[in-house]
Amino acid sequence: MTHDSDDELRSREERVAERLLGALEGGEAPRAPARSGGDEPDELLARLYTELLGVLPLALDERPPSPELRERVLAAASDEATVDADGPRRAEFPERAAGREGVGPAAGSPPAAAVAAGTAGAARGGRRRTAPGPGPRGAGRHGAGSPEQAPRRTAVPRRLAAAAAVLALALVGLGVFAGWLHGRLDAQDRTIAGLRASLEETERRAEALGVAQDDLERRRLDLASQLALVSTPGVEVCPLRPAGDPPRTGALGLLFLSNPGREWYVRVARLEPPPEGQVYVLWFQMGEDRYVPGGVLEPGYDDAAQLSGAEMPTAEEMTGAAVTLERAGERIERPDGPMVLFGDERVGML
Amino acid sequence: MPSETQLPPRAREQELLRRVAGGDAEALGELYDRFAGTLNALATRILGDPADAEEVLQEVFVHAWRRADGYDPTRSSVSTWLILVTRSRAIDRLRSRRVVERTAGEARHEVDRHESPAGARRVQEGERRRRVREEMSRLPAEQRRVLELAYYGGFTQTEIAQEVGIPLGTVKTRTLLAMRKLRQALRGELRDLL
Repeated sequence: MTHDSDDELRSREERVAERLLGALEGGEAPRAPARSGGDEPDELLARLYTELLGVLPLALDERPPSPELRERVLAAASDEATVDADGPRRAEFPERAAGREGVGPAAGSPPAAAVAAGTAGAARGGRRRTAPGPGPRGAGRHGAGSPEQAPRRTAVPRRLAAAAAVLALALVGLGVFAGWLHGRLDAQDRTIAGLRASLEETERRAEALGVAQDDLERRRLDLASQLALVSTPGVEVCPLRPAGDPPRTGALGLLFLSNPGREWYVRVARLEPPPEGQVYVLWFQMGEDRYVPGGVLEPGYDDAAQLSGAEMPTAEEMTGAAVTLERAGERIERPDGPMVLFGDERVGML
Repeated sequence: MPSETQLPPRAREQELLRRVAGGDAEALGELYDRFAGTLNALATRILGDPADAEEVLQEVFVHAWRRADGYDPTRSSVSTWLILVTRSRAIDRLRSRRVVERTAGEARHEVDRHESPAGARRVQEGERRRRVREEMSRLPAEQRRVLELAYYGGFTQTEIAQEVGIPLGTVKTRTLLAMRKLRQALRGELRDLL
């Protein structure tokens, strides 16, 4: 059944286990299993040892944390989702464009945009706060008729007036540019949102393909080990037949038991889905009236269910097997529900 | 709930994590409900302080929220990923606190309890826990000790050798023997996680 000698297998196991322990020692989660040149047995061993490191804490009693912790975790996640979704800089642009005072523009926008927006508003007859200085038209509104102002205005050189007009025009131009830029940024935002949605959809599809591939690989590994068991010389078979009169199921099963050794594998074909709230449980019969659970049988996509184990649950000799319908979610120590399949003989196959 | 019964547990957990990666907070809550008890037990076991353990737990689930898209199903199951992240964070905190002696003392106390887990939701999960406890208790005491010092105590093998007073080579041998025995004894349970 094994392809390596015992020594080779032992040294490979030690190499893989030592590498994983080294990663743990560094306080980090073990990295990817060895994929050196497609060395499949090392990959499988590394994956098994990784999962072993993941089941060790199951030996501890569960310890529910305080109820407040759940709220804190979900609140922390919600806060992060809010920051990502709102994009505060983008959300502020429309308000800024409307001439909100005193708000500094975001990075990348011309600093004069806010001023220009106010000036543009002034040009439309709105705000006057940023008027740069008295010009020909604004002069009258700023109290040109007061006796103190009149002598100064008449003395302002033409060059200053021209400079003021040029500056005003430049600021108006900047305001127009800012409006154009905002429009372009909005269009860019929409494009980014569309691309992000496409990327997320593509990632979801790629993930689904990855999960499907992973499932296929797992099935391949399962089939390989099951084939190895059922073709082992000396393997014994315990046929599982429908129980009840009339029979409670149309399913049929075979339980393979390696001999010597105690590795087992059961496959049940044409097993209907269990009723709501119930599960199929495999039992090994030890002696006259003692049963030990072997696990829950779950029909797959092809209405077949299978389970396997490295060894029988107890050292006692198995005298038979059964499948019963039990209530889901309950811990049971012996069969309680109706028997669906049973087997009471062991036949040597090879 | 039809989706719960149709998907095997492992596929269900991967589906949850995929939804978390997509920003589904409800899926994060479900992931929390499924694993918080085990992860908290692990963190408490390592740190010896429930408050510290809960801080680590919060870090772990925030990490899961942020980095669910980095989970690789070819490397480990979802449960193992979360457990190893929890262990890593707890060990980091432990080392920074340097309360080695207190943790070693608690290690010897915790391992001997064999109570039924409260709140086991399925026959399969309860059976797996029972099997792991059973096989851990079957390990020779000296092998179990070095494994637990490495796993829960965050000790390096050199530190274990000093702590226990045995050669470094003996520590390595005992640890590897323990892991090989467990890997063989729990082969069925581990294959369910592949």
